[in-house]
Amino acid sequence: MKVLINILRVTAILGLAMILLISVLYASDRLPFDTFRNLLVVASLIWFAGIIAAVRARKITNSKP
Amino acid sequence: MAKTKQSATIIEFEREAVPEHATKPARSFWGMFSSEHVAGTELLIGPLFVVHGVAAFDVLAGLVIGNILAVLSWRFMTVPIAIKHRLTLYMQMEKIGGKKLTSIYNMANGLLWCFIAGAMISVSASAVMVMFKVAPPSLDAVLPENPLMVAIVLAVGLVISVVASKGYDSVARFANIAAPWMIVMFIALGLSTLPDLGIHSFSDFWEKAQTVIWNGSNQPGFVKFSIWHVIFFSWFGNLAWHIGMGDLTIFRYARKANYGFASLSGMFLGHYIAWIAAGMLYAVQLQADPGNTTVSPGPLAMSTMGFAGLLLVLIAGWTTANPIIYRSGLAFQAINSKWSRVRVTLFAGGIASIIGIFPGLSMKFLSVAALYGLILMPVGAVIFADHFLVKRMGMIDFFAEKKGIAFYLPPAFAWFLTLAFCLLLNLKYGMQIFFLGLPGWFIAIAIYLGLSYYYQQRKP
Repeated sequence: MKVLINILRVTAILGLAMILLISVLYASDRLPFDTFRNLLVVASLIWFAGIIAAVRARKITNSKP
Repeated sequence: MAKTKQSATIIEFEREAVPEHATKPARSFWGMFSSEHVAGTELLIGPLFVVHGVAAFDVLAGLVIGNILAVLSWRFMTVPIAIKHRLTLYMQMEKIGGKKLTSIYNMANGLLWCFIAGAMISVSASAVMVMFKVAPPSLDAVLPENPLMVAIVLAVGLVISVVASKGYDSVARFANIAAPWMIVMFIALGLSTLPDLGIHSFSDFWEKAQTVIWNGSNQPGFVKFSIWHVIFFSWFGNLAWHIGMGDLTIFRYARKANYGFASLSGMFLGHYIAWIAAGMLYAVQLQADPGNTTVSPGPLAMSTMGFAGLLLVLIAGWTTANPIIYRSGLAFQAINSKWSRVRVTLFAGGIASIIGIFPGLSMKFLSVAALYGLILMPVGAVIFADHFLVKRMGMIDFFAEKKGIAFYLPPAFAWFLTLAFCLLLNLKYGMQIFFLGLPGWFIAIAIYLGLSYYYQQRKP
């Protein structure tokens, strides 16, 4: 379970890293606006899904005797 | 600027000193400050600096100086008192001024929080208004301009209030999850404005900063800001929390006074990067249409970041408004413990929602924030004087507690006379609200010490 929690956390952090990366790419004119804003939504979803799942998984682990 | 989600621990050890085993490590404070000070308010403050016509050097340098002064205020004024007694602001106030004075403080605090929460409800509502294609209010609007806007603000306020009335934990948990995302999104917000502003290198940035973003021309009806305004606003933007001692409640969990430096994270992520990013966002709007001067975070974020930007505005406003309404309810409930917490929270949310329908509050948010700090500052000055000066001058500290007084006059007079003096400075001598905190602090100290000396001589 610990491995799963860590995988979920890393996934979430990758979502944040993705937000920064696509922002830098957009700022340097290497990404069109539509792609940028769609990827922002995707990256945000990755963060929230990953971190919420990690929190839930941790809670389940802690509640087990 | 606003305090968002102080951990649930603030409601523990309400009337007792925090025991040594319950203190927290430094990293808790670094994390707490970085998440608390990246909030919905930053989306108003950054653009309003541009509206006030601040110049590029003044904002970039002034924010560094003001934020350092704020950090030093936390480190050398708030934290030493917090870790000596390990009591909440309310308990310190009760020991110094008595129960009745603390009730008045609670009432004032609760009402002022409603104003800040009202502004945050309007921030979140600005994102919903984009979805319903409702035009944002104009920069000089004071009263609501559109019935649909009123309905949206009230609906958003209702949802936030109901969630706040359900309790603190779920909101705090979501806010903690959202905080790192918000910090990254604010950085992304700044980066996303670069192509629209025509910035492709650092030299481009400095040129555009001076000529496009912070070009020094203020909007009609908004006083021109100098570097002094920026320094004092960034220093006193959190006046109620450092010099006003609001953060005694948080820092009483600190092990060492140096934990006060943790405020650096909040100041430089929230009150530097986020304010600058939000200012750049507003400059994009002005560049596209110089006539579109409204400060409405929803449309601003939508134009540069799309739906994710709207989500940022909605969540930033919500996660700020929610705990403020919750704590406003607690402040009102402290006046009469028999009142239902759910009802008083809904009552506080109702007041905040009604305040939120007036766009003048958001458009003049810098003044509102400065006034909020100023009103509560004298109480912090009294606590400072009681801690550092009263004994040295041969007087008794925590006088109300030691003598069983419910309403000790010196702190009450120090509070109210200081505010009257500041009003006089403002009305008669034209001193702007952003600067009043500094003379006000010395006046509050002088009145408290002078009256305490007189009072304690008469009633030893």
